[in-house]
Amino acid sequence: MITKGSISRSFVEGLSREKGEPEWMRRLRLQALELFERLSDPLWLKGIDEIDLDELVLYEKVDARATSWDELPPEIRRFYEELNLPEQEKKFLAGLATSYDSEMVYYNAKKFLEEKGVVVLPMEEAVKRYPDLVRRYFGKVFPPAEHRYSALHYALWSGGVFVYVPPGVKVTFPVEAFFLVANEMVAQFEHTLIVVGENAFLHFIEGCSSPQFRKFAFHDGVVEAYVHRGGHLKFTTVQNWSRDLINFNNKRAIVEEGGRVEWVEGSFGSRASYVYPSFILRDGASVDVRAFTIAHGGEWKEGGVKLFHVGKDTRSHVVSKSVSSSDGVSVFRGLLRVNKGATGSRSSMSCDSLLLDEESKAFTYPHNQVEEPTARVSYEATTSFLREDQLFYLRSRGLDEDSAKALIVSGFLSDVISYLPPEYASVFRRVLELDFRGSVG
Amino acid sequence: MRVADSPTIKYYTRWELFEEAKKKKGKVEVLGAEKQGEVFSVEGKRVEIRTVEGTGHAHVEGNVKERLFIVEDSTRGPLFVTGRIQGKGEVFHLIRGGNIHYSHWEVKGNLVVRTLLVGREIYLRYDGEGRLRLYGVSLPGRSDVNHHLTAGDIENVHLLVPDDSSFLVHRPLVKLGKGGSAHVETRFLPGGLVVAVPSVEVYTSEVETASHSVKDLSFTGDQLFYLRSRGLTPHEARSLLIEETMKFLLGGLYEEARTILQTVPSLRPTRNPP
Repeated sequence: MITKGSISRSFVEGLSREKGEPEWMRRLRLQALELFERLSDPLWLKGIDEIDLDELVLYEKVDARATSWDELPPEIRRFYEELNLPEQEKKFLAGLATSYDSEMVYYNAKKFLEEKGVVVLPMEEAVKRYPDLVRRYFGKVFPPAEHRYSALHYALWSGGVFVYVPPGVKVTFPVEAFFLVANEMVAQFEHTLIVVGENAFLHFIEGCSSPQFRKFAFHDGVVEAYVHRGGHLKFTTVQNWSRDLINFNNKRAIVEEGGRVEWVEGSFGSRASYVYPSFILRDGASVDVRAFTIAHGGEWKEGGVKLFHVGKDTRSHVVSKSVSSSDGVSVFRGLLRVNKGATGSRSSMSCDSLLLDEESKAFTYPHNQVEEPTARVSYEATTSFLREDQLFYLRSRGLDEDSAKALIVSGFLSDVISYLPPEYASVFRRVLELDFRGSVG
Repeated sequence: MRVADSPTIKYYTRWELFEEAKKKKGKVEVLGAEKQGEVFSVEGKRVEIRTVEGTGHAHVEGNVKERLFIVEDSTRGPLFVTGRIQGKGEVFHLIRGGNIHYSHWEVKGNLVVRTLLVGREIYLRYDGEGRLRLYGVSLPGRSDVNHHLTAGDIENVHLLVPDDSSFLVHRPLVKLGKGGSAHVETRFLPGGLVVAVPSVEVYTSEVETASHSVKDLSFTGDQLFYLRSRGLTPHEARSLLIEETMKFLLGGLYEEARTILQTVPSLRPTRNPP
């Protein structure tokens, strides 16, 4: 089933039927569709107006669902082998689920996860096998009404992964979901839902990629994370899209009493990108965010972090870095909200931008809203520039100009990159080198 | 202008109200200036602009020799002021009134502008060349202060002084081009709801420096302990901090505006607070 264009009630109902969903999910999709039709484009969006949804393939059924790599059709397996995913899975992952355009095509979880009661499943399958569990959280963390494109996501979602870690269980090896947009003029609406039980631990890695297209593709995903009392979620996301993709990412975590989230967000590529992970912190909860974006060659990259301190004694710490080069524009939209009653809360946010040439731009819009007199907050941002004397110094040490520039960028981002798993950090450094070599200044 | 729009905050500036603002009927009084056609001009002294009825419009041109005192009062209606000031020295800018207020100044030279802003919704725009130091204070109440700044070298420091029922906003936007430099800082005291959106748009790498920050001006436990060990009550310590910060930001305007400051209950130093 390949379905192109015309978002309508009958299309959404057909999609729900195709997936064999329960009634509550069908209703949720239709409600979201109504919202999508009612809401207008958000004012803060720029560059998304060129999307003609009628021209996109909104859902493509892929006839492959494998639990071992050999079962996958070779033309699909090839993509993942090029990305070295089978090797990584063997070496250090507890579970892996991968998507191909609209569908999850591969998933596998190590046996010890099942023994501990950990659930790692494609989202559609989780809806059927654990309906009550999924229904309790689905759409409750990042609601469809947030804006027009989150409503669109809920109407058309397909693919994604559900991870549930029972109370007290610590999953020491990471679980990864990898999302591949393999074809142009495709829209991907994958939905990831992560639930970390009381005093449990999970390290979740989200990878995204797409090859070069002649036209473009659209990604409108949602990640919802619910961290229960005393739970600990480490979330690492590595988005390495091609420059022809418009990336819309909706991510939110609710962190219950004493819970903790460590969030690392890295973004390469995409023609336009809008990624603002948000966190709702209840009593004693804390979050540590490290994020970076690279806006290169005319890309419009929006990032930022939204922090809602709603409970007492909450803590947040954010380090955000962006690099702009060759007419790239990086935009930071931060939000810090401290509610009345969130006594003793602390927040520090720093946001640094590096511009590599005179055509590049960096815009920074931090919103700080503080309603609690006992809260302590600080926000600091700087924009720095590639200087001749820095280049001169490195060249006098024997580096050519391109290597010197790549080294400066790598050094600038090192605060964030050092928080990536080693395998990803080395890949990142390599991508950085390739991205900046011969293309800046 | 989309600058304040945000995925999670449905709260926008209204600069667009003024971008095509047309003159409406209204009466404005300009004291201390000479009228030359529709332009009021002032030479390094004091000018007071206030609405008498309806929506007031005025255009003022001034030369700063040492000090220029500008009072804009929109108590009786919305006030639109445009102006051009040049020279070297200090400008004391007092804006007050309960109506919407739009003030757009072209500045040239090397100016320190000290502003005291008491009003509901204030749009204060400075465009120009040279060096601009813009310091300001918002007093308790419901006040939404929006700055729009372009100049060669900008420093903007603004202090929000709320009380428990205040809603104070400081939203500066700096646009920085070739050779420019900027530092924007919002400081605030605890109380009420404070909103700080210090935004910077950097359009090229050919910029000297660009930074912005938001800080709360509360004492840490150690600082408070030190001050209390010197015999100050917490209230006195707070008053001292406010007074010194305001003196730094307002300079000579602090003395001029003393009568206004004394009307604010939370700023009155008292040894035995209620």
